[in-house]
Amino acid sequence: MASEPATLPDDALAEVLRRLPPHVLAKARRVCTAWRDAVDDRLHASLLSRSVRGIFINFKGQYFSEFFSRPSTGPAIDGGFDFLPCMGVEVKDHCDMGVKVKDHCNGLLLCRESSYRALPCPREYVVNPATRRWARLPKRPPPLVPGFDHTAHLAFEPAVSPHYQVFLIPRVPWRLPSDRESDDDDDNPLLELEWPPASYLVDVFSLVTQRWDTTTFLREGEAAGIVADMQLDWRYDPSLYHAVYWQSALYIHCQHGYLTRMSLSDHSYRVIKLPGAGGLIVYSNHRLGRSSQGVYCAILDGSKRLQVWYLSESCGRIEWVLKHDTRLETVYAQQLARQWILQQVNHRKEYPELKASVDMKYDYDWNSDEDNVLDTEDVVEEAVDVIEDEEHISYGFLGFHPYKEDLGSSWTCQEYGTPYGETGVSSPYTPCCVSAFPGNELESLLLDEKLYRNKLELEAQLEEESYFTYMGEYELRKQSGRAKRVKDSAAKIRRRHLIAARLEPIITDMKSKAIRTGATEFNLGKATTELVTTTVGS
Amino acid sequence: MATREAGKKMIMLKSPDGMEFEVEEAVAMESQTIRKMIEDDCADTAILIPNINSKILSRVIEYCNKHVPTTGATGAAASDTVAPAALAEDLKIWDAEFIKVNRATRFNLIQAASYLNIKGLLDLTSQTTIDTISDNSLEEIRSFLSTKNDYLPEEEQTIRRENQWAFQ
Repeated sequence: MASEPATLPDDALAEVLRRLPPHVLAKARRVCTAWRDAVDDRLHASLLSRSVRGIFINFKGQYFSEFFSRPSTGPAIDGGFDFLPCMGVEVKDHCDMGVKVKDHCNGLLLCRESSYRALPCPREYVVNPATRRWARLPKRPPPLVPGFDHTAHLAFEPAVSPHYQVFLIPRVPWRLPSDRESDDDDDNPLLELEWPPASYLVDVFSLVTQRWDTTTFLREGEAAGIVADMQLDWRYDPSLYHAVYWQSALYIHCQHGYLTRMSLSDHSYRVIKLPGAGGLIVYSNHRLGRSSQGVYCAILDGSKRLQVWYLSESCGRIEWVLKHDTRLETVYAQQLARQWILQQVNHRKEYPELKASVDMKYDYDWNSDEDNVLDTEDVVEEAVDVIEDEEHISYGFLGFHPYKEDLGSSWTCQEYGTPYGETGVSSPYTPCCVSAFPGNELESLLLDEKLYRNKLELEAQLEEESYFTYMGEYELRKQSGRAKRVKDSAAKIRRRHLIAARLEPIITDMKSKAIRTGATEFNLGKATTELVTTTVGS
Repeated sequence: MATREAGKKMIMLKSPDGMEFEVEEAVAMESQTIRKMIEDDCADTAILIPNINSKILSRVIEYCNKHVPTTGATGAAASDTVAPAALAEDLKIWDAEFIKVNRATRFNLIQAASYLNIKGLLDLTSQTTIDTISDNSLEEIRSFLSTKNDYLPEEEQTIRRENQWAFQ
């Protein structure tokens, strides 16, 4: 028998490491070079999914985000989120509410209810389509500066922690609220304020605390301008502004041609001017995105000229480096052997009897690492309809390939060539199979939803009746009373989750202590007392 | 080839040090690698298992014998109708006993399980290592596994920077 092997052979080592959760795998890389190589060569996919399974695109005037998926042998991704409680089969054809994808970060989606009418408080969900799990966010707090807008952005890094955060970034609205009815609000004192402010207040939802908390980010360096400047972006539409999460920092595209780099580790931020921005910027056609090396910015102008810039952050200096400067050439997706599949979410929701291609299994994978199109000089377009008159086609930039830097791995589309018209937000989607997804309250939500619907139906019924019967009113009261009780119990569950989340670090700490001292058991009772003492102590 | 019972096909496994093991086909097929060989009809004569010495191979066979689905097994308990839960419990105790080996043997078993593609055995044998990695500092992991930190100072700097965002 051979002497004690110092290390496992590569195959076996990879098999062992494969069983580690992503954030432990990141630690294992530091043990020795052999381990790093094993992780980098064989297991990078475990750290982060490298395959793009599709693109979510919001089209103006549609209730749901469309999902352009790619054929795969993996589990089917349901772009219509039929698993969300508000999106079940009961969606009737006259129902005027849908759910749209607002942001994507490493496999999690931030979704929000959308409708033609202004919803009083649209529900928001964090959704993992790969595992079909989701959590509903508590109601957003009102904007910290009254009258200002805010946009929500996700920060999630499965290789670091299973917890996500949602940031509400204040934005200057197109029109500031004014006390008077007159349209001349030039003398509004708010207009002269520095923007973004030296201490930028941001509401943050953290999965650990289960609530929105206000965090202050302190500015390093200059502001971008004053509030009045921000309003020069006349085409202001919050959905045009993307954010990118990269290595503990959130890069947020803001009005007036700049981005803020918000460092989540030390709560500071700085303003970075966008590339190719000279003089006054009337509107922004910049598109931020993430790719292999970090943060990129694409600028696509009306003459089909595409520039791709890379934000270089080496040695503490931050600067934009021009990577590509080219003109788009038309290559139609149909000409390539493999194609995108439009899941026709909107169509499917309207006619639920049409079970579309979601559950279809394909016998081949479109592995994005093998995209042949990457070798060509051209950018792929998903042209669905071929429009003869090239001159009048407008193009939109959909996104970057998350792990490939080549120009060929970004996507554009004909804005009017796609079946639904002009595009809004688009997010290339990479699945994340982290199974732990705390915060699901499926049962209570389903019940909540059902009761709410009952109530609506009852109300409608009562309205139809020419007179109110006592019985009817009694029923209505009963329903709303039950709805309230369910809401209370949901709050109780949430509170329990919160306590569990706070206990968790203590338990893990105790567990590791127990292991070190050789003890094999610890009990929860002790953990609870420890928590109580810490709360009392603090 | 000797056939002990009608309908029970036997497979001959050979270790590189010349030992031969006769096992039932069902037992050998716990290994996905061997299953594939059998299904591809490459297993007419003895199958040579490279890189796995007879001592380790015999332990692997011992594991497969125990874990082969009881429907086809000739194990003593198969005829008795034992509750599945009790059986699973029994198996767990047996596994715990089975894995009480020194590190070298465990590593050899991981290697064998990885080559032969036996998922259960791989899960069992790698669990200790996984726990060690999950719960300890880098230095402790290295000393547990007798691995040396072979990073050059500048490499270590790089990897620490790469991972910095992961450990703040």
